Amino acid sequence: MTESTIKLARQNKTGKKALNVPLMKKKGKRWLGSFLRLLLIICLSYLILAPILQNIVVAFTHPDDLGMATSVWVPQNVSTQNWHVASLMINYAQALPYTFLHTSIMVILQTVCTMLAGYSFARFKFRFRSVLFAFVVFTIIVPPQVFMMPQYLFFRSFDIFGIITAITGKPLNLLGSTASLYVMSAVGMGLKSGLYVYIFRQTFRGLPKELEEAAYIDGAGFLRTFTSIVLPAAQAGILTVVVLSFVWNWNDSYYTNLFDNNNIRHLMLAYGKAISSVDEALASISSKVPLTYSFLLKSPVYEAAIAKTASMLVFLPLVVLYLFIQRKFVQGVERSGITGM
Amino acid sequence: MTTASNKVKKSGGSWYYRLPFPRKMALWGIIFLIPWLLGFFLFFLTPMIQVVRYSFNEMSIVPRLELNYVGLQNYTQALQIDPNFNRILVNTLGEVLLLTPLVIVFSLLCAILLNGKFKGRAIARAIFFIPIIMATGLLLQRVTSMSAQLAGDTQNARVFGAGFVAELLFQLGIGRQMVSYLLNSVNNIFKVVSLSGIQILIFLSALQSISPALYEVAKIEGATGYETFWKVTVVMVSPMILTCTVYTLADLFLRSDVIDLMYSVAFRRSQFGLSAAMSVVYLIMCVLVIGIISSLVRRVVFYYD
Repeated sequence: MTESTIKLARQNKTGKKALNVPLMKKKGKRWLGSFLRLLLIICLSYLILAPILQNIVVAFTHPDDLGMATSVWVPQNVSTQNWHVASLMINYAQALPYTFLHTSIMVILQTVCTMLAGYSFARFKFRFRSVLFAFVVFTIIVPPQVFMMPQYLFFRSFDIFGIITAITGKPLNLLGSTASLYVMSAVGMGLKSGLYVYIFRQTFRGLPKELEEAAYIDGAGFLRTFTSIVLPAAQAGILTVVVLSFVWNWNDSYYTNLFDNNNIRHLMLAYGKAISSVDEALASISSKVPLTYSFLLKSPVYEAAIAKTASMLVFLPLVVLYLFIQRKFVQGVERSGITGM
Repeated sequence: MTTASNKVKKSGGSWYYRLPFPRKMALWGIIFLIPWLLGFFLFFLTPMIQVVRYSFNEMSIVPRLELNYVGLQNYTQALQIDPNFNRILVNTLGEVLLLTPLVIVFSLLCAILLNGKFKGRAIARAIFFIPIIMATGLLLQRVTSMSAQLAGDTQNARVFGAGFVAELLFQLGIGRQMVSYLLNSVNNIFKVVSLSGIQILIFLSALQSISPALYEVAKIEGATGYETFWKVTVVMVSPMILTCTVYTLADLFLRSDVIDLMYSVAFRRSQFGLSAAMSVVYLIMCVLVIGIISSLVRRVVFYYD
């Protein structure tokens, strides 16, 4: 199935210029090829979209109609009550702006650090460069969770080479504050930083060297060359990393949970806590909601619907952002040459 | 000392300007790398050594860190006494070996589908990258478990049709193992889709960078589409197959249940030494599996230089 499709697709592509073969046969094959391709794409798109659409439908279903056979794809009675309850449950009004700001700071720190490292690996020649880059690959393949305990203990008594102890007399406890997360991101050991170093290295290597050489000859220093020649040329790669970093930091609950686990303003954490026991979360907000549906409180169907709605609340800001930049992102990925060898 | 530095300032060029170009380059290379090096030292190298150290000790962290050397006791506890660790480890390994080839084939297929020119390409691309934005963590679990319900779980799949297909495959003479692999793959389709985001992206980018001249040559030489696919497309993207394989493996290891187990052993049951021993075993397993598989894949990779 797949091979024949690919074959047909290829023939479709190459067949356009081949005029010396019987035209009818080619045309039929080409039509079949694009039809099969379209069919496959539609099926796969359905696979990707179905769970999301299903969740959205559930979120808009009136609590009375949940689980009814009449409201599977089109709810019988549309209501926004689920959204209201779910957003109260995860403290959305406060958590959304906070998480947005928090994630943006993480993204900036992470991007700057990995960008510098990536450029260093791509262009500067120094001793042990290849060894150090092997270490970057090593950081990609080792799951960071393996180091959860030493990192936890490190932030419990935070100190760098004894400097803080020398000043204040005792090390700082950074647990329970976002500072620990910022420190990790700023030194390029945040979430999936190794991958970003790799992407930046490939991006910078794909740029023509002549640009930088011309800048050096014109008397620009390394820093100036980097900021005014290299960075504008590498926008596509930067966009790729910023998008990936934003998405992953937004969705991350591991690091926040480990270092800052009482921070309920963090959206993913609030969501995780809420869905681990939906009934408790609902009970705690019951005073704020005019619940005429108190009989629903113990119903698993209702709880599942609220959980689904909450997951959409966490997910939808990303979709909105994605819709804004999707075209640039996809083009950027193609041009950035993540793959450039 | 001061006079020397004054002299340098007066003469207008410090020691930096006297360095030859390659030296300056090396210096800036290190300067650019300092933040990363610091992070690598503090949050990777040191923790690695510490984890190994902790794993040989019984430890308590309240009120302060205390270590008691107990030798290999934590390892025997993890590998022989703990009821879950071995089982989860083997499960993880099985799942990784099942899913990785599926993800690679699926994402290559998607990339090829998206690569051509057709109507609605922009929309299709936008949809295919959605898995990236719901990439990690809880949300994904939630959404994929929903979709598994949507598609009918394994048992339903057995009731509807899958049994028939399995029977048919047996009749065709395909081995039992192969059939169960195929059925498993179908059951895992949502997982595969949700894992393939970045890989599609990488393959798409690789396909774009294949020189059209190669396809022209293939056409002039009279290659069929099938031959062109295997001898041009696959060969040219083969370095990226290696990259994607490594990435997929790492990604799967990161989502494993072993992580949850390690977390709960350390922070709920307060058996920190045991958790450290598990971490070390898991670390070694990850590195070994990724090392072996990537060295196998590397044999068939072709570098066009």
